[in-house]
Amino acid sequence: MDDNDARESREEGIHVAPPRDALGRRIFPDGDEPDARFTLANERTFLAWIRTSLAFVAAGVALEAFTLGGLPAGLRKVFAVGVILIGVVIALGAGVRWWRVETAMRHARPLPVPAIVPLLGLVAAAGAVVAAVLVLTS
Amino acid sequence: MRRPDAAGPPGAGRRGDRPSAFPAPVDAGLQPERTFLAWTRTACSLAVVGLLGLRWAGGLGAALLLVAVLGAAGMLGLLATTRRRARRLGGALTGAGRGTPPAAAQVLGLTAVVAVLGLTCAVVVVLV
Repeated sequence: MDDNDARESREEGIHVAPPRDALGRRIFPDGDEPDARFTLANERTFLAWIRTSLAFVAAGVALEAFTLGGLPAGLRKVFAVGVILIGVVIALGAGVRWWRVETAMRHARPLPVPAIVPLLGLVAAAGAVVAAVLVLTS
Repeated sequence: MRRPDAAGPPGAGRRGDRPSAFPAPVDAGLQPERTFLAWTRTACSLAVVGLLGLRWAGGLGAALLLVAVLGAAGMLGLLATTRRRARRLGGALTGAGRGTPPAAAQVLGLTAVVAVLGLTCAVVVVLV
């Protein structure tokens, strides 16, 4: 929105979006601010992914802290670190996806397909298989 | 002043036929409040995971105290700024198509905090 539009909007009594801060201008250099509801919804989706990521980190710590599963210590450690690192990847992916969705909305483009969903599905399936093997062998 | 073309969900403009002194909100879904609550429960999850990690790290806990204090301060800062934003938006989300700046610093800050927390936990698992 250029200055002219902004002035016209003010004269009509329409609220004009406050300017982005320096970081906002840097990572979203162009496009138009979408409806505030969409920006907020994108933010909440990001936060939901962050909580998913925190659940993975907590699960990894719990796996090691409570010596669950009757696994050999070395293997347990590998699993624990793996689960925690999946959590870190989800957190980083959440930030990247928030940026991609916001960019798409600023240009009125279709939203990007979530690449993280099939990954998470595979991880959950692998976890279930490991759990089943542990139950059968213990 | 309510714009004649301000589209909203059904019921958003039901104030009788009298012109209201205040513009009817286009959105009855309490978006700013919901968003701030999402930040709050994320902060709670973060605190739980951080405390779990500290509690379990045992002797390493003292060494990690600095990381924990920085993380807690960062999260409090995120909550304070997102709360201020929600309050500002709460009264102003009234025009259809009105935008709000993305909370870039908060989103990237939280991503960094969670990534550091996760990597710290991974290092602790390896060391302990």
